Amino acid sequence: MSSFLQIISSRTPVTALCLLDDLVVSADGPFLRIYHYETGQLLFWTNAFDDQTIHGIAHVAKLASGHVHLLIWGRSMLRLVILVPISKANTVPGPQDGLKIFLGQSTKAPGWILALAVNAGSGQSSGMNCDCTAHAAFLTAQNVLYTACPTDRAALLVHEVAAGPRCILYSANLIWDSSFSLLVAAGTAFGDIIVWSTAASPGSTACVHYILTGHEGSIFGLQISERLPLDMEGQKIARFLASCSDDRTIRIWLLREDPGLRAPGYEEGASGQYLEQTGFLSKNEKRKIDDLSSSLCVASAMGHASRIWGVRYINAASWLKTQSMKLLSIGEDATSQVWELDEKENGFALHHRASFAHHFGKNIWSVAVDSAANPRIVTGGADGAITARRLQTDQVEAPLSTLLATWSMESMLESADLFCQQTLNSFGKPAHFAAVSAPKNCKADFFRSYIFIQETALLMTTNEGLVLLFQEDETGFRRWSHIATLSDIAGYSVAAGVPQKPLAFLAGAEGAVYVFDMKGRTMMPVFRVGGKVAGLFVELVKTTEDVDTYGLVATLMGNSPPQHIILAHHRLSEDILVVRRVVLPLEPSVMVTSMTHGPTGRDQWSVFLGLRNGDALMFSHGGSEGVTQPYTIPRVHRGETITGLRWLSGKDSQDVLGWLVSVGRDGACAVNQIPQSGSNVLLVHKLTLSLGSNLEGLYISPKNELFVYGFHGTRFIFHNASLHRSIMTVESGGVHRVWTFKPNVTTDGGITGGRFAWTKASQFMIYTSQEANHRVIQPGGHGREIKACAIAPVVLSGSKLGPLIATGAEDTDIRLSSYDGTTFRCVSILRKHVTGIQSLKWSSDGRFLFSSGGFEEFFVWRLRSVPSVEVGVVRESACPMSNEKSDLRITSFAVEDISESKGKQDGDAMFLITMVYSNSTIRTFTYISSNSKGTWTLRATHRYTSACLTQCSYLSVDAGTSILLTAATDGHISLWSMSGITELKASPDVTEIEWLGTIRVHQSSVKAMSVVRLNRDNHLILSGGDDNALGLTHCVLHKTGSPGMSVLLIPRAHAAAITATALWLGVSSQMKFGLYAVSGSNDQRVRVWGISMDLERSDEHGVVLRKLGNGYTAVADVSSMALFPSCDSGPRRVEVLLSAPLSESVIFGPWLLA
Amino acid sequence: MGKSSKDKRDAYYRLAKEQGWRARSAFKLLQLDEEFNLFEGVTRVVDLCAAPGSWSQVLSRILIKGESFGRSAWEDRFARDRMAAFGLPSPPEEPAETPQLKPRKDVKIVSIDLQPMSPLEGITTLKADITHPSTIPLLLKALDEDYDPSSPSAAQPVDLVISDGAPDVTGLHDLDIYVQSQLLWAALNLALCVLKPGGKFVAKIFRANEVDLLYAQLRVMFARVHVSKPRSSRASSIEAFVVCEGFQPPPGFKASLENPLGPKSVPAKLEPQAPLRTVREDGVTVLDLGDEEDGRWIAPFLACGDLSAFDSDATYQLPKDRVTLDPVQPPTAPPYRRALEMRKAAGGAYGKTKGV
Repeated sequence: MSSFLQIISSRTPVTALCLLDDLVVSADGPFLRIYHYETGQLLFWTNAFDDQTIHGIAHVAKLASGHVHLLIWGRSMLRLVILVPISKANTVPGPQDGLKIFLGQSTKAPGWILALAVNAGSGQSSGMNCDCTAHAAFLTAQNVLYTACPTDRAALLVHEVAAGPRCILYSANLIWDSSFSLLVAAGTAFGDIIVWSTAASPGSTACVHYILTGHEGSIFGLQISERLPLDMEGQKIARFLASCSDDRTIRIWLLREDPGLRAPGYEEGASGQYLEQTGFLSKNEKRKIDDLSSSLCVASAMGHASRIWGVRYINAASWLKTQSMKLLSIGEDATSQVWELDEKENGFALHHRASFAHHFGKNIWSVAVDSAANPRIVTGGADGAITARRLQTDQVEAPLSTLLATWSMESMLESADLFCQQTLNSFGKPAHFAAVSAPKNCKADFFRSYIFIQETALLMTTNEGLVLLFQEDETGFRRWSHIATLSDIAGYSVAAGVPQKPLAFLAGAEGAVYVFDMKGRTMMPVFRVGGKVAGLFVELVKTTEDVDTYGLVATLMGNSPPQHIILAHHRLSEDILVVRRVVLPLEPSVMVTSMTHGPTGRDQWSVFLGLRNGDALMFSHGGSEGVTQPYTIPRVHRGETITGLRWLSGKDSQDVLGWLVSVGRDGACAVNQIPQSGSNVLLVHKLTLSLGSNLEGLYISPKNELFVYGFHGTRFIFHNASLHRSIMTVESGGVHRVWTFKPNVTTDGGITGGRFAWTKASQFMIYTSQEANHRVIQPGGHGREIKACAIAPVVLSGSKLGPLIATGAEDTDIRLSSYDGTTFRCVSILRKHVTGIQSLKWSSDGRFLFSSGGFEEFFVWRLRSVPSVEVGVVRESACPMSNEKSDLRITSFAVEDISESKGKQDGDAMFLITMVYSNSTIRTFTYISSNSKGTWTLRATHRYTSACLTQCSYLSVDAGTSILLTAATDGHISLWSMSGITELKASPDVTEIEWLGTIRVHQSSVKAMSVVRLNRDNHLILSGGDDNALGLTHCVLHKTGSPGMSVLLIPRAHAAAITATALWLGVSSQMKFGLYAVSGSNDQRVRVWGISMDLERSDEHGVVLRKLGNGYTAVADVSSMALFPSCDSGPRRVEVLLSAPLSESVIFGPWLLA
Repeated sequence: MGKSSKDKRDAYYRLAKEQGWRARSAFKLLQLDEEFNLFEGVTRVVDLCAAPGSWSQVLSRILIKGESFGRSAWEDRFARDRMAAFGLPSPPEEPAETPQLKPRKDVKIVSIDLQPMSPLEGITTLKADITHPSTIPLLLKALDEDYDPSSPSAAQPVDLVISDGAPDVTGLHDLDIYVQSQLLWAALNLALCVLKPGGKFVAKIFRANEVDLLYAQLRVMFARVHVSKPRSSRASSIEAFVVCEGFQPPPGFKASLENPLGPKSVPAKLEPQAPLRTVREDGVTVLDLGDEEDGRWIAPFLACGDLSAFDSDATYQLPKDRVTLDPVQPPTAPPYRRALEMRKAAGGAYGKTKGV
């Protein structure tokens, strides 16, 4: 790697994984990373190969010294890696201790390494003459087997062992049959599996045992099991072979132990001829192969939505005990799936057991499974993420996430000792409770409503009026106890609670509201509203040393308006008193669906109500004043129900009273900013989450992270919206049922799971999750190819994050990430585009982000700092389409801020935006952002040839003439002028853009373009072409007449198309300029160039270019490049962000610039 | 994407249907021919990885039937007029009359693929693996009835070997590039066995990591090596074509599939070219930085298909009353066809339990 270029951070697909006790070893691109499994802490990372990706990691040995030997490989390179723990004396080694890594010498194998197996026995016993502690065998894609032995200097000696039938393989697996022989399963591109064996010594011969036919597409994954007894007596020993393919099936083959067995056509020993596909095999032999194959394929199943990349045994050893074992498959659909193979009377069967979707987009490329009792499964995806979870395979440990229990009405009453009792008045209830007989027929009763009081306690009401308490003690013992039987909740009741306190509220048809206090297990009526309570909403408003203040909103059936009640709970005396009770002036037809309290003062109260029609209302009252007329925030969630509301106080802010956070059944989360004075409530955030439309509530953790919950399909989902990952999913059977939920809050304010209770088919169920359903060891990014990136030129006002990085991908998402110098953190995901993103640009003040895609999608996003969601994002406007059915792509655009009051934080803004389209048209708009609304005015249009335009940039924008630059797939660069376009007129005409000139730079498509303004009239344009060439076009604008353009072309600048460029000015004097350029290409090289320009020389020597640096990048198809805003002081350090298909980003630097 | 919207998005998909080609890739070969005059004096051709057969179809129509295809087959007249308006040079108008059929004599075309391919008149099709040594005698036999198996080389060698083969891409870049390079090596090894000195070799290549090593190796065997991208190949795809002309095996070289050439098996000894600055006729200064070190070489790029040709990346407006044609040949059944059928029968998701 050149000294000019250094990779500081990178996120590319995770292509290899290995589990080593408490460590996870992973590979992305050439980087080897070592994480601590439990804490997810990155212990060490290093660049293990110069210029290629790591495709496999295998554990070789752990020495007595604690050193761990690994073999890593990628393509045809192989390398020994030694991990040396540096543990402090007298402490147990842990993540706090360091790790050192020694890399052996890179060794080149004669072909692409598909599979590698380490010989558990010593290398000595195999008769090979080397004194290593262990050695490995590997198979290349040409079906040739080699052994590799480490030498003293940690280099590797490679010997050819034997060659199987020759053909190109897509997958392979090998296993040491003994310490001196090997069994190979090789998967071909044509769907056959060749099973062969050989001795491990050089010059051995392959014995082809089986040709397995049946798969209808390429074989992508294979695994041979250990020897397993098929009968109780251990007489029949066999191996299973698991395979997966393009045809979406997983197949299990039974390989009998029979060393003399030969595949038809291979009886005379392997001649290295793989005849079947060349048509030489006789029909008879072909039929024999097919017949044998179908008898050996004992089970087959389908499960993934697309191609299956790999299959692994999870607990093959359990076959011995249970005649069953679990398998794991990973696939293109970014899921990992669990399968169970068993043998019953009717033979073997493969059953689908579970499916985990913890990666974004497409493709899980790597997997590691350990063989512990509850095995850990670690997967690495194309999204760059590493996720892990444990699989429960035995019942020794209590599972952390499980369906806790299921009760029928009968079993619940039985547990509460209520079943068949005649009277219940022996419970010593306070006098105001009428003694009620037990239900005549318990079977007719049903679960009415329930609410969690604590994590381990739940209050339940039944239709017959029974109130029962569910409790689970420390030992896991669960019981129900009878609390009360209330006549006025019989037939109808609602329940509500607060997550922070062990209190629950109940109300029934007659208007009495009861409170249950877990502390004394007491149930008391606190007040009465005059009517049947339709909805009960409660919130802990404030808490002082000895008083907790609660606010309740009770809505009533019929024609009565809702009431707002303030209760004071004196913790010492346990009295609950009504402090204040007001009727909220609301039309009876209005449906209240959620509530939160706004700012409260001394005897001053305010409350927000979320409505079914999507509006939010604010009421305030206090002292002797009555309730104000409500302030309405209309259509917060379009016309959909607001299901959750939370208030975040602006605290000491001069301008902002606070923020109203809401979720609704439009599937979005919104934040409205409420000002201190005036009435301009501002929508500062609204983004759609990926959970479908049935969002049912939100929770803001003590750590200020935002969580939402709701239903997606038939599943209940609890989701961390700040980290964009699911915490808990429960198969609940659908949304239309009675349910309740409480998140688990740890002592440090984190959220690790929750409890979900629901009724399904007259059964009451509780699901508990004490830890998140998966852990994220390495966070990932986009799940599909990144097409565009842009870095905000300035830090967002009020934000603690650095300049935001916007990336847009083929998955139609735009992500905003922050970069702290080592890692990328996704701050928000903007979902609105329905096509892949084509281009992204920021406004110069960082307040606006512009994005374009297919179907003429062009969006303006407005960003603000907002608590809890960090960056508030609103899609302010979409550019009107030229026609509704348009399928044009907006491939590029130019934006210039032409506001009069440029840079004012909340002022109006005006932009000149020129877009170029895939049908060769150019359109220019003025866009005015005022009061969070956008107005578009089409100012000018033109049409180039019919070539797709690919690039667009302004050379100058001013009141007189603005100059526009475009490039197209025909390799030409064109200049255009627009007159008077920045003036604001009441009704401007649409004018035609004037063509100034065109020059041919490239032979084919211009794939990247960067412009630097040298002085008023001189510009330098750097272009990267599909023709592998870089173009430097010097452009001179003249006051009159056409501009001058001269081209310096550098053909063969890269070995492949140049897809991204960056250009900046280093030094300049009056007529001399020093510039730096970076180019990125599909050849996976990033090159740095130095350019000097002398404007006084008009001949071809006016521009001089030098190569400065050349580095490899794991980013396979660089699609875009962006420069970080430069620092003001210190050594000049330029960082460049690359974004590309199937990888997030790589940053290069620092470069010392003279 | 429906047929109709694909027609708008992909001009060559539409043209292929209108002009009766089995696949849009036919235009890639036609445009390569326009630039390199591939078929001049050619009568004996081998088409590798031929299915579904659009390149064989081009061979059949040009060499056997004697048809000729000019720019007019893929020229966008609107683009031509617009280019003229911008003062851009545009090629001369082609004569409008239909040229006479000029069938060639003694044409021999052999197409090889593992996939089944519908037959084409006058073309011998072989179902065989191009990487396998046993394919050579099969091919030699097909080329020459009187082939003598005792002689390993062709009695009557061929003028041109073409290969449009590509793997099903997985999305794991390194692997896709590797498999494509393996296909290219296989095609080259077969070509080395049957090509006559001075013959040509055209093959699909992925312009990606380490492609410069491939170029360098091809340069050892051929006098001229270009990399080319026809206008009909989408700019967004990393595919391109190597056009190797003037087959000149190094002295003592013996081609064989038993012992095939592979990466770095031929020392790529090239006189590195020094940096060179020239001024082209059109005023553009061209700075060639010279050749790479360490056995790498970047082949010169040549775009083909005139700039007035339809742009495979542009969106075209189609007349409202246009009838959307069916493809000439329906797509071959994918390996997951059965999976799709079963999934449909099971009501969507194989009837499996949903994930947790």
